[in-house]
Amino acid sequence: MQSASIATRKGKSLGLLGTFESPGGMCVDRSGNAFVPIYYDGQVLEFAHGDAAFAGSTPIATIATANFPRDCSIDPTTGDLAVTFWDGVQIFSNGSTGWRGPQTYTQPDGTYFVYSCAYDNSGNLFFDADTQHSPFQLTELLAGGSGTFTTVSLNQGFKSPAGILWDGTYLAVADWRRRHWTQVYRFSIQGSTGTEVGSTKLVGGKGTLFWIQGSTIISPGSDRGEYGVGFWKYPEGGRPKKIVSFHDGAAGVAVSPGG
Amino acid sequence: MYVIALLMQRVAAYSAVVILLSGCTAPLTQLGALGSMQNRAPTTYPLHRPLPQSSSGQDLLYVSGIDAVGVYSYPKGEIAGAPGYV
Repeated sequence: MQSASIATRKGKSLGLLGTFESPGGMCVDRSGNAFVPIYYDGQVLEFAHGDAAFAGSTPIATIATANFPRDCSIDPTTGDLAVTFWDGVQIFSNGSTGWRGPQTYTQPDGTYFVYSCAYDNSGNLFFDADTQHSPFQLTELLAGGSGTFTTVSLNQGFKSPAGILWDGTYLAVADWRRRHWTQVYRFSIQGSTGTEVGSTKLVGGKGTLFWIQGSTIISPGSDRGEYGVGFWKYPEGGRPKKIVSFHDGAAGVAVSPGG
Repeated sequence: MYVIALLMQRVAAYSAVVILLSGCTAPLTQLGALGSMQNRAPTTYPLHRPLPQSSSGQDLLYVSGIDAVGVYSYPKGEIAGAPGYV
């Protein structure tokens, strides 16, 4: 039976990292550093995990991007940073002297906008987009820097891009098609084909830039009038284990594991 | 005639209850909004409280909203669903 308790919160609010012009989907590297795309500023801010960074909330790096960066992901094989922007993806190399690049890949095929992105364990990059041909298109950029786009066909329809993430084994794709929940589908990716292997219903889930941490999926959500960030069992789903309030609603979440 | 009068009386009584309930609901809704406003991000923040010394061993949850990013700390492993989490 799913627990529906709200906020016997063991987590402690530490306050705000800062105020920004529409922060987007965040990502975290192996060191626990957090990356925050700032949509209207055209940059990604990197914050270190731990005391020093938060004490001043001073980013340890400011990475200029193309217009309207929306989401990011870290390549687990190289540490490179991928950032989605309006009509493509930029990849920044993790050099010894800082971030280099970017290598910019634009989707040539009538893309209206690129939404979120996610690396798999092998360094292949996936991103979802709305195009003139389809309201939802999943594209793969193969590891190795060839720059080759592959459209991945899924045996499940989606009405719009709503967030993707690699859960360690499968590609999780969110579908916020209903008002009161989000469905997250898991796909096994083989070549240019994705086959659904299961799905998770997040009751009260509000889409879209979700996060999976072990057996927990975290997403903007609400339960019984409480709005903020919801925690659900993964992959079981159901009602949220709890909701953590966040002032005017959450848009994206990320977890930086402690060292 | 008596039955009709009785029915009308009942309807009037139920209407009064509905009106009373509506009156109760409105200020409750407003209170909720007021509470939300208190937590709402202003243009400037008295923020940046230092993390506790033990924070480097803790899991941090980052939450982005319309115009801010909040941070929450959790004992290591709790977010991933360790026993006793909920």
